[in-house]
Amino acid sequence: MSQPAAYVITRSRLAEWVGQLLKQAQVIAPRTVHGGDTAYDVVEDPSQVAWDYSSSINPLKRFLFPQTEELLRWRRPGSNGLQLEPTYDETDRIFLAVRPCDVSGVLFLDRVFSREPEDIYYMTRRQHSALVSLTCGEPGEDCFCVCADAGPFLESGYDLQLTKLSDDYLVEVGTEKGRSLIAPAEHLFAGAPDELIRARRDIEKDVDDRFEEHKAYFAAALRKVTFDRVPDELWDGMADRCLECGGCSFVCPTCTCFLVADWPEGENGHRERLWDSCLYSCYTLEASGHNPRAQRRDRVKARFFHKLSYQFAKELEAHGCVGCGRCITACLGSNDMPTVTARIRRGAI
Amino acid sequence: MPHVLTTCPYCGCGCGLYLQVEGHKLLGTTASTGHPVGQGRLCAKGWHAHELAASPGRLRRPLIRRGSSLEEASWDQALSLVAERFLAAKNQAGVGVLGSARATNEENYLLAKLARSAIGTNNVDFSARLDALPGLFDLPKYRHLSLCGAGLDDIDAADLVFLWQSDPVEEHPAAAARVLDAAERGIPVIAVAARAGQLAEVAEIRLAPGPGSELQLAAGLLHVALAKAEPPEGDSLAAMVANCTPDQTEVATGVPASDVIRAGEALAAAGKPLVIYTRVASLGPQGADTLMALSAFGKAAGAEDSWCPLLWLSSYCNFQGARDMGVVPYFLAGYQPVSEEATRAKFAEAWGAPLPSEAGQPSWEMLGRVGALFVMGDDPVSSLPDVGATREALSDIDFLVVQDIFLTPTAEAADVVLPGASFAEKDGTFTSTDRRVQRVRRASDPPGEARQDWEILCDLSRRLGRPMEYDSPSKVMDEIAKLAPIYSEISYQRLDEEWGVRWSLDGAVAADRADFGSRDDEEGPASVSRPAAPAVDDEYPFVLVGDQSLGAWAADKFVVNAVGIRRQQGADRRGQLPELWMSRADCQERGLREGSRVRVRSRTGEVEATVHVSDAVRAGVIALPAVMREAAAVVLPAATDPETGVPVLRPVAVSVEEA
Repeated sequence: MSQPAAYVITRSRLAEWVGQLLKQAQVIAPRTVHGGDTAYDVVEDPSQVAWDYSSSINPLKRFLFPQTEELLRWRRPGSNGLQLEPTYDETDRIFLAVRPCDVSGVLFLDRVFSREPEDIYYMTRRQHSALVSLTCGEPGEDCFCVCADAGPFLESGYDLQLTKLSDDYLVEVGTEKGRSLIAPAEHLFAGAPDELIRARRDIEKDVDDRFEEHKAYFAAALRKVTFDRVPDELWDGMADRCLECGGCSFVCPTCTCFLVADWPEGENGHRERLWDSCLYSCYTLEASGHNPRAQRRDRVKARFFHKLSYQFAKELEAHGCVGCGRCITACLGSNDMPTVTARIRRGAI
Repeated sequence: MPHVLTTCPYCGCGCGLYLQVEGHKLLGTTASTGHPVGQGRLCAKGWHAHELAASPGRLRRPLIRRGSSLEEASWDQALSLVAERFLAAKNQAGVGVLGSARATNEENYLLAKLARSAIGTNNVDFSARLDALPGLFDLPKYRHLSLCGAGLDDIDAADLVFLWQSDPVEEHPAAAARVLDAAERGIPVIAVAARAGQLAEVAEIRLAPGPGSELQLAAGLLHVALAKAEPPEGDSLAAMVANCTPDQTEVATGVPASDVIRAGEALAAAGKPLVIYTRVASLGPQGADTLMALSAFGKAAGAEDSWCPLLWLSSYCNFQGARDMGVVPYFLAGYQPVSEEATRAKFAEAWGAPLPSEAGQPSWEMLGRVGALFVMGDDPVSSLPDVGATREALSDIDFLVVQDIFLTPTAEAADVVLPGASFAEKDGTFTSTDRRVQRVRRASDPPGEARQDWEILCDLSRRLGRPMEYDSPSKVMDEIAKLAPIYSEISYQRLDEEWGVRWSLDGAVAADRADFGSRDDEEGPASVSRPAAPAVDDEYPFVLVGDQSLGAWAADKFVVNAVGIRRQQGADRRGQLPELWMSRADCQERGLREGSRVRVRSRTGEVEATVHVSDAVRAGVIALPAVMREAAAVVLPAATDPETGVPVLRPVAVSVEEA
């Protein structure tokens, strides 16, 4: 008998399922951390999963590409020689109830880090992780995933995709890994009847309509950035509004820049990588002292060129934006993606 | 919980951030979206705060000086030695204690308690208190200025924002973000500075008074605005600025009369003006009088409250709290004067020890006079204007103890170094620049043998014969709440339930509102029309500004030990020489280019620097980072403000030659 492509689980049984998942792996899910802030965080108990959240303050990349990550340790056992010991993280992780934009962010990171030479640290973590997406019924205040083709429902890329339907959740199986998350608790699930699959399609259509208001019009910006048709004065104006905090890079699900630092402790030591931001003045500083992007304007321009130009999109199969809207909150100025694309389209600040 | 909410350990804005923890390892920082200060935003310092705690540069073991070097020792050896020497010094040469603008309220409170009850001295201060004129709020003459203490939310409510010798972008991006928001809403911003900052780009009016003529500019703006308001005959404020006409102001400040009129009229038209300032204004010449004049902007604007709110932005996370806790020579916690017998009796009863009644010495006087000095998380070498004199005074002290997380320049001179805990490793509270008391929460463990600072203080107090017993910092706060009325509403439970609590100024400061116009001395109007600018001549043709905000973080241990902030600040870009900001015109005239090596000479010394060609300063004015004190101090002699007796930085006349 062939296995169903979709299941259904009632809301009251979710906790039992999460309890089962907690036995299998570390579970990372939306969780209320303080005063209404919701963050993707490690959960220890099924009751901690905030199923009805809008969005998380942090993207998933913190768990796959941490802000500070030890890469290796070195030792000098004797007078000569150097022992290197890489530190890979092989913890099994299940990312549960993740919004589609954040799943799309991970898929983007997959494409960046799997290019040759493959990033073994990221790929190790990734191979030990499963993605359980939760589709969106209501757009958040800052959401524009529809414009980035990153939500509110996914066609593929997830291991499981959950959709809330009144009292039940429809569970679409994307991969065998996804199916393995259901297997140990199969008694909690039932095969999804056709009418539920149809109901899910209706919801998707309805949600798409409601996302109408939430748009960043990329097309004009993509063209103008690709062909360098954005006037310098515009970049100047945006540079005046950039306080070089790096926040846009850090909250962005698709930003991947890092620097590497060695920390010697006597004869031994360890190597770390740390998130970096292309807005920082030392980002492109060369050993000679020359800095090709010494002006903030050049750094702002480089950032959006990297995010929006066709050259990069062609290589990575998508623009560097999933429409999560976090840069709208994080930017100390007003250089968030929707505002910047609107400025470029208008040709004015 | 792996995401631990805490308060940023850098500037005084007090943004909320989460530390992401795995096991006991700090992985990263996330902004809190719900937090009322940052509202989901952080500056580079906040985003990299975890790197500070995880830095390999941290102190891990107690150190005791043996000859010229500091050697590792056990806690028992170190604390026994400290207790023995302090008990001896107490009865002989005298003892001083410095607290910290970066330690928690609880730690500062315990330190002040230890000093007053176990050692018996009011020589309690912190050198960073000098960082700002609010340090002067502690002097009776200026205490009323703290009544103008505005909050960050006042930026959102203002209809006119003055950036007075301050560009919050450089040290207080959380405040700068709100100014940018205001500018986007069309609120006029007036940027006043000898060196224009980034926000000057979005400002409606830019005013660049000659260094040392800021008071004259303030008076000129008052003159224009008051003329619009038509004050009653005999108004003292109008009389004070009667001679400060736009033309006179242009002569005194170099700001075109037409700009003075525009800005003065904008002030007259405003209903809710706000002035933002930092240490650059308050440590400048005539700083106290300038603030008095600025506080009168409200009256000139005809605002509802005749006092213009002054938003002081502190460069330290707990500058406010250290003062609140009585780390001031004249006050016990909550600004209760040590001179009042009833106050002393209240504290003596709670602390179980008699308290000294004589006011102590401020840090800058204490250093040269005490035989033993205990420094917790303070770095007078970096904070006091005269670096040479400070180093000398420290080397004259018989016994110097420094409790810190890094080997600061002050710690390098110590006889005993005690390793404490960083913000990420402790429970406690910080009080922001606008008096928001907020939790600091423990997310990891101190490195090596480093200990909780409050435990070190309790251990030491016991060895000094006055045991202090607490289960936790929470119990310390309960004691503070009982003794300091301004903190009576504060408890950890309440702080946990809310996003911190702002304590109210109402009734907190016993002071009358003295009017700038009602200065009783004859000198008032005279000083208003007499700039404190240095005289330039052919030999020394430039006016040099020692700028505290410029590269302010580059020399700070809190920056040097956080890779990300160093990169953002460009600290990796600079060489060993300080950068000298010089106008394009001056550079062209002298054939200097970006990176040219020059010698800057004043009447008191000379220093080498590299040129930074900039449109931010006008011809004839040059700026050097004051934080690179080793370099800047020789050309920027420390001076004492005659009004306040406080050390200040003054602009000086210098020459610049290619080296």
